[in-house]
Amino acid sequence: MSNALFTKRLSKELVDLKINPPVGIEVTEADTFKSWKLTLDGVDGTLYAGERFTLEFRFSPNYPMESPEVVFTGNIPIHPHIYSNGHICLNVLYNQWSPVLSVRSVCLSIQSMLSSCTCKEPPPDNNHYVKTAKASPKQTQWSFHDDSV
Amino acid sequence: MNMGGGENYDHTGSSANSGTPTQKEINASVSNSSEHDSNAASEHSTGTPTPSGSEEKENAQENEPQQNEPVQKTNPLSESGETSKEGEETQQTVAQEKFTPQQNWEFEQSIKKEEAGKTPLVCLTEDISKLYQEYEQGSEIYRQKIMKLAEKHSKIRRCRGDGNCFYRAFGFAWFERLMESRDKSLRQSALNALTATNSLLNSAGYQSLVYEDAHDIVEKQMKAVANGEHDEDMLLTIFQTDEISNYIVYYLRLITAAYLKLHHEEYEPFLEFEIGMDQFCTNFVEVMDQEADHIHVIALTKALRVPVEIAYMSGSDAMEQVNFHEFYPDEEAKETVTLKPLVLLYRPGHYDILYRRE
Repeated sequence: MSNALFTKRLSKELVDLKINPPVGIEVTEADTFKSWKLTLDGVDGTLYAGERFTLEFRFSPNYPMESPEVVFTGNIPIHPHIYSNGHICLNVLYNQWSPVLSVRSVCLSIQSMLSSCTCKEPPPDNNHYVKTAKASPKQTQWSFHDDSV
Repeated sequence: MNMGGGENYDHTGSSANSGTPTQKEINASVSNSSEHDSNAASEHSTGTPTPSGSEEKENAQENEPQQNEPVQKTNPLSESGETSKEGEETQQTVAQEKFTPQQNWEFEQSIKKEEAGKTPLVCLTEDISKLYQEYEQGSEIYRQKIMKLAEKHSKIRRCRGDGNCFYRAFGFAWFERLMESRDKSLRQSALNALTATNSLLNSAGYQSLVYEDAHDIVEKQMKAVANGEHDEDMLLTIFQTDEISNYIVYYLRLITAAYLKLHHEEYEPFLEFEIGMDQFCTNFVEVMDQEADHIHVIALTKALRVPVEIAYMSGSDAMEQVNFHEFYPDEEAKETVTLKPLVLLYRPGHYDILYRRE
């Protein structure tokens, strides 16, 4: 049952993303329901215009009750909330996740986080974090109190 | 609709909370978790510090008689986060001495898992005397209140204190009411109310792919109840099965959120802080494990037209009786509601199901 529900939901999301793709977001790899890859284009007129990034989503069979694990791979954007190991500090990926969110809405949130950035710099604690972080960003205790970027 | 705008981004990674108000503190005050934060403070201070009480759900309530009563108020809507802030400060002081916030958080997560393993999502009924026994070493005022409660109530059915207890208790009690009523028209109107939620969610702007699986699950179970296919054991099994049970909770959350969004002019004045209804729903309704306050109860009872009576049991007022709050879908037309109200017991931060003596 578990398996059926989670694949059912992801199948619908995939169709939705393919039929009605959000601007600058494209599914490039979705052969399994374990992990997908999507490309995310920097929006014109922002600091990331012309750049292309890859997001990896990893799903557990409890998706969407549980949040997907979402990281940047390859070319990591330089951004105050994105660590150089690809981990993203964004509350909807952790304690503010809800099953009403989807791969689409997460991509749009990340796109909007990039677009509103005013200064391309890594997080101040990047070096320390990257040294100590576990493989999954979901094993990090994130705290969210910066509303400004 | 749930994208952009609302998120708070952070750049501190695993570093400790600063002194500025955090999302967590806001959570604590709006979601009425202040009491068990204080409980958690005393609970964890013995060598097992935790950095942030507001991460705690309602676990403390479930197994811990309240021996040191924090100040409690009866109206969840009027609660402020003051107690929780104090609790957090104490905890942080302790925490800083020994572990990193990251270690504390990991510890907290493991405790939560352990607690979850102990209590089923919904339990068998117990005699009301069991509730009394829970307070034998505790507050006298609580014992008096339970004596009073026992005059008209015979049994209690506990629900796991995971932040979803209101929705789960509501769901179980609703299904059970319909199962026991054997009244075809009541069952049919419940099914109709459920069907109507599709357009409610749609009007509130939810994309069908995020709710239709949950709707199908709830409808399937409701139909089985309506057709007399479920007995009490079966219903309990369903509500104890993580996946089905959580999808039911999720669907009730969506109904609550959709109702609040569609009636935002009416309910926005009751929100603490300057957040709009969409943001409130994103933070405090749609997210699993976020507790329910008055406003959630009102919305769900109105949206599904299911009356609920809640016994509020808190240690704050010296009176020995228990205050009952009635939530009717339509105050003027109380008489027209034929479904007997669901009866819940509220103790600060937690809901269980009560059974009236016949």
